[in-house]
Amino acid sequence: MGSSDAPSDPGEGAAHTLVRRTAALARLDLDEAEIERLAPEFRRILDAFGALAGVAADAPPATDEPHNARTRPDTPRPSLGAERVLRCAPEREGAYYSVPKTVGGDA
Amino acid sequence: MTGAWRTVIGLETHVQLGTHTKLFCGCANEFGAPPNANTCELCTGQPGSLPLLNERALRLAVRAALALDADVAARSTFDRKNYFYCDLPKGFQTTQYVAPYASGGGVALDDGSFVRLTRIHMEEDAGKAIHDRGDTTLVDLNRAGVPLIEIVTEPDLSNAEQAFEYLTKLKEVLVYAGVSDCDMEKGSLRCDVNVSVHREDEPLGTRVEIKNLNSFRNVRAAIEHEVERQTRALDDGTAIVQETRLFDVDANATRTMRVKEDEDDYRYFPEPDLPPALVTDEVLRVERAAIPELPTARRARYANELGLSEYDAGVLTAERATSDFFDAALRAADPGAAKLLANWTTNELLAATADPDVPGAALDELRVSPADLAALVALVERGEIHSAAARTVLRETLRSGRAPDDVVRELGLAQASDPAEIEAWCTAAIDADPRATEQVRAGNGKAIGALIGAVMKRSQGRANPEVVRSVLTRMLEVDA
Ligand SMILES: [Zn+2]
Repeated sequence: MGSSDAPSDPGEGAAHTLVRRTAALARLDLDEAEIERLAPEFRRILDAFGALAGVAADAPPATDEPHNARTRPDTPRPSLGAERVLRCAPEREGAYYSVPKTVGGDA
Repeated sequence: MTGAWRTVIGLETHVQLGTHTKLFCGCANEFGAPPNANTCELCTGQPGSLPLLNERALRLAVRAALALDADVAARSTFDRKNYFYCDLPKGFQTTQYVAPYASGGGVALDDGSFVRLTRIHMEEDAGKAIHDRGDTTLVDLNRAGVPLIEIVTEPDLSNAEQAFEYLTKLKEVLVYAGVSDCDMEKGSLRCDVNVSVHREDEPLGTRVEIKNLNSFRNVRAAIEHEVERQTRALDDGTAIVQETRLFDVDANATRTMRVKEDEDDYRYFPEPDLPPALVTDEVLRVERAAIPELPTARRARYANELGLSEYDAGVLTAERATSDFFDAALRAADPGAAKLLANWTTNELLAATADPDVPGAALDELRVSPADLAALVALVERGEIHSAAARTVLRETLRSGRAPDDVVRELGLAQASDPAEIEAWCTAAIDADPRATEQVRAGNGKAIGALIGAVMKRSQGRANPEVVRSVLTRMLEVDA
């Protein structure tokens, strides 16, 4: 998990770098004030997931659950459909979600 | 620095499973639906929705692994692969990172080499982003959540041709096993390539990943181009950068994809909403039994046991429906008729499926059953009808579905065996064409063809051309 494995006290600089890197990957344009505010929050989130991963690794394999609770039959169920789903969309074009252009991994 | 350049290639192939529904929700897994029609709370990532694994997706994944000789884990787990992109509304892809459901196995190539599989894992597909609309990207989430398996090879391939053959054979196996239609045009099979070059006797070179490959031909072209680009750079003393490149079909070149996550950036962690996937011995037994004889084995059987040519074996196995039809006809036929059956299947029947005037666009839709074809070929073999008449019978059976024996009787196509009748046709043909007759008598052996043709016409195809030839030579008193 890279630098997120550090349990605590990551140092301000490391957390800031992480936020910048993640924002770049997510094509988010953050200003310095936002980075300043997000760095400690980001650190806490990563620590929480680090703890979760640790617990999951220690957990005994759950093999005694009934089989039918694990899978469902391959039977179609009605979807919500474009109209209902797109109600949550900030912008749409026809039946599509419309978002700012991001091509492949290009910045 | 004088060793020859060596190329090392590994492939990652994504294959959509042929289920009715998505991997974790009941939305239809369907190509070509109106945008966002097949979406729900779960596959659009709404808070509070919980995934439940599709049983058939698990089974098809297991079947694929067994067909590729991989080992299936009794217990495998799911992880979240986190990244932020518009085609993935949840903000993470549910995949199997730490404990995939299958490992090992592989694909044998014709040159005797074996492409080992590192692993096969289940994961969900992302949605589709459409970028050709000015400043905006349009997103269709119908594909988001469609079940995939990702098949990862060891870096065992050493040239573009091997990659092409591996993909062709992989696709054959998966289509025969009923796992996927593997239709690249619909995106049901997609492939990423890892390529590096190094000097013989030197360590492996820096690996470059190529994405955006939507046909086997593009895979071959991209590898050829990338190997050339890397060797040229290294010859010039330029280092290769580890990166992901996109293949540009129009330019026939790869170009850098600038920002790309490293494995660390994905911050994988165990999917808390899904229990491990369990595969029982019973599931293994059922799915193993569902795998038919695979195309490589069929080709070997056709060549070794039936004596068919490599070409015919290839044509027969190109589609499972053709091979199944042929095998069913074979079971109803005399073993010695295999070659004739193969010819009729690959020539007449495949042509019939393409003929708009013949009902049925696939072999199993034709009105000719495998048993009909076996019966027809038996009639030819026993000399009861000859092949021209057999084609007439087949056309009629294709049209009406009536059994070949009945058609032969009804149309009076049974080969004429009464010598007097054949002699009468021959006499008429000789009288009608004195010029050909003269030429035959003068020793022009080829001229007899015109007379044989005339007799065949008069007999409406019922005369046996060999019998006609011998009757004519006797009547004209020439040597056969
Ligand atoms: Zn859904």
